[in-house]
Amino acid sequence: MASLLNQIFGPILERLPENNRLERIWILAKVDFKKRYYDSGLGLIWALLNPLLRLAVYTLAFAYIRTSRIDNFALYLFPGLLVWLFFMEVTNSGMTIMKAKRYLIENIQFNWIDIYLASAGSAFIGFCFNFVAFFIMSTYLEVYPSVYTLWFPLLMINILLISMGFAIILSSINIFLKDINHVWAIVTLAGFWTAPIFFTIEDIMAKIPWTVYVHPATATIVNLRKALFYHEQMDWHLFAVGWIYAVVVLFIAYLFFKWASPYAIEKV
Amino acid sequence: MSQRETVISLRNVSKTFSIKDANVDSIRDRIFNVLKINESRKIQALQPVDLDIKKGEFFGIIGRNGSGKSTLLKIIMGAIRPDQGGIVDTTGKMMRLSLAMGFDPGLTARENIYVNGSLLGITFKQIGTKFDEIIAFAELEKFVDTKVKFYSTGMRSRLAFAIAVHAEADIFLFDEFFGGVGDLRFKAKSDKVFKERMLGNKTIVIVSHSMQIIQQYCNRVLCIDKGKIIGVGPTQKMINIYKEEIKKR
Repeated sequence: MASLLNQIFGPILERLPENNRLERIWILAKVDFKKRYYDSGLGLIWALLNPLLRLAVYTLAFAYIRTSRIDNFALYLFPGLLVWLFFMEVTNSGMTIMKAKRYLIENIQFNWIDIYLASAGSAFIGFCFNFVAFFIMSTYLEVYPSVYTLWFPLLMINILLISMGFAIILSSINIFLKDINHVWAIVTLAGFWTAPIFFTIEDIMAKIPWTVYVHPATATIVNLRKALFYHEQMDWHLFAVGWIYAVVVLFIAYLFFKWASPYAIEKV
Repeated sequence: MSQRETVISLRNVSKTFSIKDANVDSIRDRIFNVLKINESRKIQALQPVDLDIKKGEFFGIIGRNGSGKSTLLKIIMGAIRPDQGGIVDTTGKMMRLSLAMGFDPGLTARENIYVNGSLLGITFKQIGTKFDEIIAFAELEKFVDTKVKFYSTGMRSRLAFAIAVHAEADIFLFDEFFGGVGDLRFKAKSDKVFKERMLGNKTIVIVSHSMQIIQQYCNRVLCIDKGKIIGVGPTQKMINIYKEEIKKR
């Protein structure tokens, strides 16, 4: 079971030219991901089983208890929910990463950005497992992929970069303000209800249109839903918003990291 | 020795820690303390030091507890930065070894070896060729896939030492690490390998309270007390100065 990750990603890595940095990020991400499932009986199977069961519950709940004006509401809901859970996981684990990886940064010289990349990479592996579950379920419910599904990887990379930017900013602030996690819990709660996860983008645009430019996940969620659920062409305006957002956040993250990282060992 | 390349160079390096009696690490404290005078105390952990360490040197740092030895080591490592104006210049891959060395207790020996190795810049292929040798050296063949948290202290330090002698770092910083590794038999084995592979080839900076180790291995020694450098010089001379300093107290 433990070699499942190697079986999936190993051949890809073997075909790439030997690159220590890539390998380093990969091994850090892999052990991080494995640690989460290490002690459970079914091991890595949970990574797939968990979202599949969750999706089954949503499907049953929305089919029998709450009828929605949208068909297959669980499939409608899931892309948004997964994007938001991924964003939360990357930012929450990134916030305390300096402390968690202190045993490494204190003893070996390397580029500290790599541990953020690995942490986001680890969450990204889980994110991919979730979407495998999504595709299994959507095939079962006879919602098949289309040509628009091909945009999917680009949208995932977009939210990965945004999440990583936020993780770096938060971890830099966390060096000086230890209780930033409580503030962040409230911010992400507000983020959940202002994103088009349960609501439609039309609802959001009618009441709070400006959040499209402020919310880190709205652009990705809308386009992901178009690609995976509605099978429509992307909203190019939102696509551009998402990528400009990623560039701006990463630039701010770079400034924060430069300012705070020299104090990481002293203050953490 | 003087012909050799300088691999660690410190210029005007000092370190002052700012210690606050009231802890203002939270948002609440920041708000409530905004009108209060900042009651931070400055503690100079290290007074300005200039130092050059050459390639292949075995350099010792001695001093009493709390004298600033580990602070100096962490500054060399780049883990903490010196006060403004100080310049730290190092050449080559560096690895710090302490008893609580870079192991994640939740990972197996195999995983820890790959993590440590790849952080040191070694590719998976290279780690693969050395892997069996590292495990055999550490005498952990039966525990390769056991989590390190189940290891005894002896097993951990054997693993740490095995990684260190096989690691391709250029500079090793031993923080109270050397001399505490394994039983008598393992000690004899590690001493032999240490002398063959590291002595003279690698640059080693060691912080230790063991005058025996300092005397046996070091070419040069720095003596430090209360953050002030007492002197840098030949091993025996500096050990004598250190002993006199202790008698004065």
